[in-house]
Amino acid sequence: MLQLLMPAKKSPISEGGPKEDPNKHSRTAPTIRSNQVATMKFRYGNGDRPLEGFTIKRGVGLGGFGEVYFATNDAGKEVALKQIQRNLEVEVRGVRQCMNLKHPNLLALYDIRFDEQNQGWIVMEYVSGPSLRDVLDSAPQGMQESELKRWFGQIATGVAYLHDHGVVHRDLKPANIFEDEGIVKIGDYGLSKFISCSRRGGQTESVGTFHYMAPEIGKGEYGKEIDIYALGVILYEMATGNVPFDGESSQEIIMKHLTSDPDLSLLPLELREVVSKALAKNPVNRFSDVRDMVRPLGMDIDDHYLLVRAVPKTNSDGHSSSAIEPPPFTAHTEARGRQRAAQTASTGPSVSTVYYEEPVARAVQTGWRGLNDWWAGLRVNPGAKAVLLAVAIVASVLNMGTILSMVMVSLTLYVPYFCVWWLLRGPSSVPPPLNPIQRSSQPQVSPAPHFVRSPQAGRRAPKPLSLRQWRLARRTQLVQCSRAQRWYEVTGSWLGSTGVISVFCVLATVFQLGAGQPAQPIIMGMIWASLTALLTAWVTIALGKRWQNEEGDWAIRSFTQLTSGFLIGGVAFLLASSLLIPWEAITQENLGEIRTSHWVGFFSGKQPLLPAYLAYFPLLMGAIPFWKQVDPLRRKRFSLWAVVWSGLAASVVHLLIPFPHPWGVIVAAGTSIAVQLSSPWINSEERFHLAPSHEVMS
Amino acid sequence: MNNNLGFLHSTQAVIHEAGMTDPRNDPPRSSRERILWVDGVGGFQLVEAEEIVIGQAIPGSDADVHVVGDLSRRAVVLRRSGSDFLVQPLQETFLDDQLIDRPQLLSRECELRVGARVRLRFTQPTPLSGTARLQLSSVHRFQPRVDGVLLLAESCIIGPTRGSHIYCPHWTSELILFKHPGGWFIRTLDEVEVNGQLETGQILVSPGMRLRGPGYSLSLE
Repeated sequence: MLQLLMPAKKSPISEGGPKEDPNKHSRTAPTIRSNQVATMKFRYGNGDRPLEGFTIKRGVGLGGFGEVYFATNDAGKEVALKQIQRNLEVEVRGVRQCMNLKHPNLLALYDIRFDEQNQGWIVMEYVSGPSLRDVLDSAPQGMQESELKRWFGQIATGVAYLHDHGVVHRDLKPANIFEDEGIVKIGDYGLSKFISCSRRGGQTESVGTFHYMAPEIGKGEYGKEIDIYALGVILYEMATGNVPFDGESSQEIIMKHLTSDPDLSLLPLELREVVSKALAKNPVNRFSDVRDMVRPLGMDIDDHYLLVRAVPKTNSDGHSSSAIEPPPFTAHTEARGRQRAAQTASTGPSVSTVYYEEPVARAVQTGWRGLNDWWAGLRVNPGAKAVLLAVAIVASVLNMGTILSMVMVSLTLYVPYFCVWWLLRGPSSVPPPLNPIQRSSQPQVSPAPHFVRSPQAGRRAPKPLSLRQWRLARRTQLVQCSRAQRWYEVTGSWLGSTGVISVFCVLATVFQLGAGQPAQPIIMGMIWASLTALLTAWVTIALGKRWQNEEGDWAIRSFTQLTSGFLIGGVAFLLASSLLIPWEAITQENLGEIRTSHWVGFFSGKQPLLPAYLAYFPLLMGAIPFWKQVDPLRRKRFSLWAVVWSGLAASVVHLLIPFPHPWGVIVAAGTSIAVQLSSPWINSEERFHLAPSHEVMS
Repeated sequence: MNNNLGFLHSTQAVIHEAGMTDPRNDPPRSSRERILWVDGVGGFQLVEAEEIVIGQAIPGSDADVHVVGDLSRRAVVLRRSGSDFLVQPLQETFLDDQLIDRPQLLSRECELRVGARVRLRFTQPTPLSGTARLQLSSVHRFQPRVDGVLLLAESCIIGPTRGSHIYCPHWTSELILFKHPGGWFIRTLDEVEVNGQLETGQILVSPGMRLRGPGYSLSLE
């Protein structure tokens, strides 16, 4: 929650992770709608009294930690009530620590109360004004200079107060900053960790935007430098109307935080240096004090944490202020508009939601969107989804005639209706809100034949990310994956591997029988091998999923796998003895003719005894790096080499411990096939499509 | 006789005083004050009267719209006739920075300054309805704390278009509040939950109702 001001290193966030990509929804106006539609559900309404002494007026918003309400207490005091939904103790501790911080630019915390269900509520100051997010959304070209200074100066003052009291906010973003009667208030300090790092499983939320997250957050570092970085992003956005690093998906944004430089040419001169330093990739190179960020704007924060106008610098201190005299803000607006136009033009049409005026069309659209949401939110294994889809397609193909005739009938009814509607009402006397994309693309229409490319943009050659950079960025994202999400993937993989192994078991048995092998022993052998491979696959999937957050240490992982081999060996032995596997009949001796006689107590004839299992399987598990085959960032979904390598490793182990051939190899290769086919995989080709947006221009 | 008269007088005085104090004990007009609370959007006072008095928020005020600010108990009167609004100043009032001393017709979008500091923005967002919206553009507040006051004509739009009286950017559909001989109704194309019951089409508006639709919810106080 709060971090004492030390460059403390925390373990990477392990349980966070959006179910779906929250960034897609957090920036542009049209998508905000679709996101909030799914989430604007308030448990309490006007007149409810969930907490003794307070009457709810209305729901205000939803945060990552719970619902926020506007309420009044019995004496008529207006407050905001914030419900704490999870991590109760830790959150309460954090809020307690911040409760007595007192500054005009911080949202005041009044109390923590518990209701009858022992649900925690934070009682805090109610602000009626807009958030900075609202203000920025209504100023797509950037804010006026005076407004920018007013907002940023006050934000920085609040952050300076927090930092000087040992608190790192950790989740500074426009949606957390409000205005109330002209005073800017920073909210959600003391809860920040939970907002940015953890999300309730299964619910889509608008929080957790990656636009303001410093690159080192992925490594689990939470110094006050992350607030400086976020302030840099906010300053950039206030001046230009756009965040410096934007993308279609969270991984694209994270990648840009890690690798791209912000396009400073869009900024007024006087801000370039500040933003550039605040957005340094290495936290050490950023400002160590927020005060240094407001000084170039002609302001300062005094010892009483009040924003004051900076005393003009004299030229005697060696710092010539006239040299960095900026041109007026407005001079940049035009150039910015053109640049943005070029960006929009080259990135093609953006997805935006159209709202039909006509009620039937709108109903159809709403219904379709509802169906889409339902399908996307359906928490079923992808395989089951595919089956459902296939059934639906088959059903619609079979009933094609009926469907077509229904469509025709609806069209014949609808077209005349639409004509009448259009004639009667006319196509909307109120023009629909122009979305920012359309607005910003207008300059493109105006004749602007000479597009002045900024020298920086020209120099930068379009170059895709290297595989290493891509893996780093993706890893950072995997860290954000919630526990529920990972558990969901593990169970899916387990199910998948079971399917794969059953198919191969049947296939191999059929082939063996076709080759004239005696039926019963082979079937018994295949069942044993399948069950053993299944167990091995499940164990390796569980381990591999656990390790997917980091590149990790080879030795420790091999050793852990080796240890798990004892379990597998033990179970394999129990299986073999209960199935009464006729090893004599099914062992082939044409490869590696090694006598078993000198392994005293390991074999009886060709039949392996418990020690043989407990020696063979740990060695097998130690020799094959299965986690690389589970890793979602492996190069290919299915690598034949990995299967061959696994089989080869089994043969080598066979040279040491003459476990009946070829059953060890079958288990190893079968595991490899099943694990690779059933583990989720992210195609690294995507990095070629994720070129940073400023490169698209050149 | 004098005594009797005096007694009578004092009795009358008592009755008179009682009559005077009665409305003061009752929060004035509170029974007529309807507030529509739209979750995630804001609170809006609904005023149906044709003559609307705007005044200072003080106990015992008989104004319809109360502003916590430096203005008279009865500062200005708005009169609605159909979809036109007339402003009648009762104290120093400016309409779009012009001092007015007689009733004036309000344009669809204008600003009233009452006294030295209180500024009110008057908007009729859509030509389809005469309903107007009053919001404070100065740093002041309404009492009770609402984000705007709706001066209801015959209908009122709550939805995602800029022409709505209550602009709800994240909504996907709109609600129409309209007047009917039987009372006020809400018309919706969605299936909505009203006080726990599923309903659609035309819904009678009643105090204390809570309505939940796909992606939105609101209450009427």
